[in-house]
Amino acid sequence: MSGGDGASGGTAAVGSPRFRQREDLCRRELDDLVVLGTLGCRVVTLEGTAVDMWTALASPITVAELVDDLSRRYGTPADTIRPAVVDAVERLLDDGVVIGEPHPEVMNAEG
Amino acid sequence: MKVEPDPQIVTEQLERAGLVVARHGLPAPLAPPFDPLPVDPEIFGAVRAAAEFDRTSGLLWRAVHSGEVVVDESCAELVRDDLRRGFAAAVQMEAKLVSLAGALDSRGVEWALLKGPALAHLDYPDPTWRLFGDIDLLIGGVSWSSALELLGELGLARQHGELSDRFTRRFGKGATLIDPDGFEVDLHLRFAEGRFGILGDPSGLRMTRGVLRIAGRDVPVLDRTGRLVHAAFHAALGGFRRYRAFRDVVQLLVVGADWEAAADWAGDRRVDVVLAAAFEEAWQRLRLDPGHPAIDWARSIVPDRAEQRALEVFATEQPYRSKVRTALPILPVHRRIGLLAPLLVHKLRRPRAAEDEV
Repeated sequence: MSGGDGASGGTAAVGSPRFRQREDLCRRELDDLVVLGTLGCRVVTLEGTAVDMWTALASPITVAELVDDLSRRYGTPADTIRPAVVDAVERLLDDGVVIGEPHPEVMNAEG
Repeated sequence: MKVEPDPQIVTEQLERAGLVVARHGLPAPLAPPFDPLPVDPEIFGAVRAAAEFDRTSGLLWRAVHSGEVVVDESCAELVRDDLRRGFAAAVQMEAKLVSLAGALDSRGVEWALLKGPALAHLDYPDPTWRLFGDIDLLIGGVSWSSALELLGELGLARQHGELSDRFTRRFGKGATLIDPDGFEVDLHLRFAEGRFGILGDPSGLRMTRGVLRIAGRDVPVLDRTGRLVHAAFHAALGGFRRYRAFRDVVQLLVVGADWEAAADWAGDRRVDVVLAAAFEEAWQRLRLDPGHPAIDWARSIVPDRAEQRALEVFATEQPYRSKVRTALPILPVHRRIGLLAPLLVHKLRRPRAAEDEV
């Protein structure tokens, strides 16, 4: 992932990739504990604020939208949390529990 | 100076905590609530260990959070650690299962997922309630050889010391296979060794698809009546029977398993005493209210002497050979030789200490 998409303050940048939970995961979710198993048998455990991010990734979402969502939830400025969010999304991608997909408007323009 | 807890108090608290945990979430008319149970921190480690061994840590966590089991915050946090480990094991096993499912389906094997993950997803409120330690698969008799061959190709090996495949097909319960990571798969041809396993041939139970998806993959299971039959066989005849095996039976009844259909199925095959024994022991162990038609039915079933003897062999967890020999009274004479001879040869070939591990 290329470190954020430059959007801020509540508007998603058109053309930014969107991220979402993979569907082919084995999962156990209990309060603020989420344990995921990939089909390659990797186990990923999420707790605390990572679970909020995971929940937000249930539907496709850009990094900017994710930052806005978490910023509102925690009452923290978007610029403050953006680096941590970007880093976390990268880790989830590396772990194979999240996938990125082009924004639909980009797909429409290409199609 | 540290004072060691009184062993009698330890035993009583352990038993009481196990009972409270096993009953968690059952409806009040069936399982009238107990008073909150305070558990000493010195004893709570043993409570956690017992729950982890019996795969009831999910129930323990809920019993702690609902205040049925009263412990301090640090103890509660330790249960969360147990759950984290239990969940990690569960999702890894399910990932292996999904891969196995694809291979079994593509080879045309007739199979169904049994026990742990099937019950966890389909019969408990959500899968975090019910943990498990291996994967159990029912294999249709016609597919037995191809299933074994396939699992061998995938790197799973049968445990040393098991009797021959021919013996298993005629009299046995199944086979245990383990992959290089230690992942265990129990293949079942039947639900038990010996008399009840042969009479209660599970091929008459309905396998169904489309009700369980794990990681996007459709996984075949027995229907709920079949799951109740199997849970009862495990509770009455399985090894390491603690609370969970009986909770599974009661859980299935609570979510509406058709126990009368299960009883009819079992009666037609002369294994109704197995279901009755499982219901009776579940009611006793979990101290359930007797106002349920299933327990009325169970108490109306009286085993004959041979059935009673066979049930006792399993209830007292006697060696494998004794369990298999419970089939002798139902076999024609010429088939009895086929059962006894391999057992004798196997006994002579094995070191004494390993005899009961078969």
